[in-house]
Amino acid sequence: MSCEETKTLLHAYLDGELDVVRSVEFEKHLKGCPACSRAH
Amino acid sequence: MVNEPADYGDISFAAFVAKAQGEMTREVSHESAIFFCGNKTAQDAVRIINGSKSQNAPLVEEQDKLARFEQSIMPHMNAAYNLARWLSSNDSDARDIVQEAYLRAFKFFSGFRGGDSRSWLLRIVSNAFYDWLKHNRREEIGKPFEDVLEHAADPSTTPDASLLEKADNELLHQTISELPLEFREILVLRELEGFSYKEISAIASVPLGTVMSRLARAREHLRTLLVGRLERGKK
Repeated sequence: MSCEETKTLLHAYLDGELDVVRSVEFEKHLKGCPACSRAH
Repeated sequence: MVNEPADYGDISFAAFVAKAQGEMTREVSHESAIFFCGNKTAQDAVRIINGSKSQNAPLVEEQDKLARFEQSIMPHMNAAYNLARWLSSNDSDARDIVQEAYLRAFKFFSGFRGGDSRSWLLRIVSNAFYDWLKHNRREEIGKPFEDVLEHAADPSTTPDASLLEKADNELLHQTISELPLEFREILVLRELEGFSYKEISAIASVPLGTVMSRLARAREHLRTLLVGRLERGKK
């Protein structure tokens, strides 16, 4: 998952609209990416 | 422009038709014209729409259809009106669009196989709007959204959350109404009508991924525009 993608997915994630697989991917990316976790 | 709540409270289809007769503001399709003109009752309308050959048939089936239509579709007129109003940014255009949408909804009602009647209806409203747009304001289709951001805040400035809280309802509505059409539609369906992404995808006839990205961008744009306005207001 790219940083650009997480920008879009953040909204879906917070809306509770991401499926489980993508939610996990999203959380994984956020944990592993200091830039994104700071921004979000 | 601030969107006033729609005034179609609890209204029967027949009463709606009667109301529409007095309110038609522009040329409509031949079929709508027949439908909305003269002293037609809803039952007459049913006969006309269905192209029924017999004038004397008891119309039991059609009356049953009308009853079901009144029960499941009529209560969503406020939602239909609000969507049409947000999309067209104009009161009388919104009324025309709603009338056209209800006419179509009634015509295709036998194709409605249960499920959520509100999203079924709003999909028709959305389609009716885009057809209306093609005929009336072709230039608005595909207008690049950069236009809107011309006077917006410098995106490098950090948005101040406390500023957003100060944005009053009027400013918020005004700013939403200035968003590009495709963002406005998704935003209104999500934030004002509370539909799920999947429902929005069906109503607006766009893929789920597009709903996701448009909504994210719509919110970003809204925030940028609002911050820009509030910053300017402060100076």
